[in-house]
Amino acid sequence: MILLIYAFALSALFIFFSFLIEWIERKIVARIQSRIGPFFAGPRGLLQPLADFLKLMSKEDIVPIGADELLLTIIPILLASLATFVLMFIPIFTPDPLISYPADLIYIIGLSASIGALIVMTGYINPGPYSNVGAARFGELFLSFEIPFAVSVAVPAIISGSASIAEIVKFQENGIPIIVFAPLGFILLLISLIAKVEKVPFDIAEAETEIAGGWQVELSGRRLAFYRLTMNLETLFAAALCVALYLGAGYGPLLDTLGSAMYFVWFFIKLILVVFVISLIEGIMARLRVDQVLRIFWRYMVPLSFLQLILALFVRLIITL
Amino acid sequence: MVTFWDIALTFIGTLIFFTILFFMGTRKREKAREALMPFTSGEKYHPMRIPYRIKWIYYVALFSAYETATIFTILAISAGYSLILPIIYVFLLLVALIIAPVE
Repeated sequence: MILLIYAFALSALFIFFSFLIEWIERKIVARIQSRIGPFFAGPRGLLQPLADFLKLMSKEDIVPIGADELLLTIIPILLASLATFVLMFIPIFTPDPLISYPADLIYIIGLSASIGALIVMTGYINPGPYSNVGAARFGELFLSFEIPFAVSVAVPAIISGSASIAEIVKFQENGIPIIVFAPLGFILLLISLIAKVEKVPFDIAEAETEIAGGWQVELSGRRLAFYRLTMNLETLFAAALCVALYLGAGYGPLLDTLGSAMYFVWFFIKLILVVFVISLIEGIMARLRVDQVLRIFWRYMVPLSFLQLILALFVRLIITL
Repeated sequence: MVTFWDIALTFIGTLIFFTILFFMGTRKREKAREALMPFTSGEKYHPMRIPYRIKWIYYVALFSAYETATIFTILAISAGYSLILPIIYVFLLLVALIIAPVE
């Protein structure tokens, strides 16, 4: 029963954080493009993501003719639940996450991969050409970024000698984050995660000017609200994963004197920094072509990720000596 | 450390939360059939599906499962765990890879 209450409370909290992340991201991108960004809803537009969500939730619910209504109801709920559930494995508030067991990192890789597969499915259950093309493009992108993503997630596990996120975080307790041992792994993870959350320059599956929003084009109302929420939660997951695996989680100065509250403060500062980098890339870059994206991932990222994997094995060997 | 049931319960809790949230969204009455557009985007042409191969979706699903299995094996080797479980897992996935396209 307590776990159910925790799950409810954490789900609400993660939604709040995902809105906050969206606000930060929109503000940064707006500043880069000489705009003000969200402004009217709440102080400095802080409540704009919430207002957008509520607006979509209250809009007319349209299911295109020929689409599977049942699947279009189940998949958004499942996607948002999965995106929240994976966040519960990451120690954001204290060094011990809500859920932890040996090899939970593998579980996270599997769950986040199933999110990708569900997105591909969404595009195909809508009978629109744009939607189908968007799904096919996301499928190609998904196959391209998953190998560098999975390998760069495995690198901290190899270096720390454990596939448990809590153990990887504890490994960085001494003040040396894993990015020091594997900087290439961090860069690969960050690039793969930008593709995973479909941000510019890897937003080929949405590409509004080419395919009018891709796999999302036929979605409206609460379904679109849930898909957008999932994307925000995934961005939060991406940033939190980078912080937990490579940037020393919530460990930093003053932790001993100020206690565990400082852990969260450090985690949050690092999280904002990762979001800042993602937004910066989004703001200054243009969308790549499909062939360019595939070339980047298959020709450069995949071999580099295997190189990083070999280097990580060497690092582990040196640590254990 | 948590048990399998704790994890399942947490996921069910999350699922219930989002199901409630989803159904809290207004479901306005749908338009009359003749007024209904085939697409949300407002296009008036008939709905049509681009021909695609179902094997492609199988491939995407199996790829994600296989990739997880590979990482499972890599980590099991590097951490010196027993290789029995990953081997069974990889074997089952290989069987799935062979069966899926046939079906």
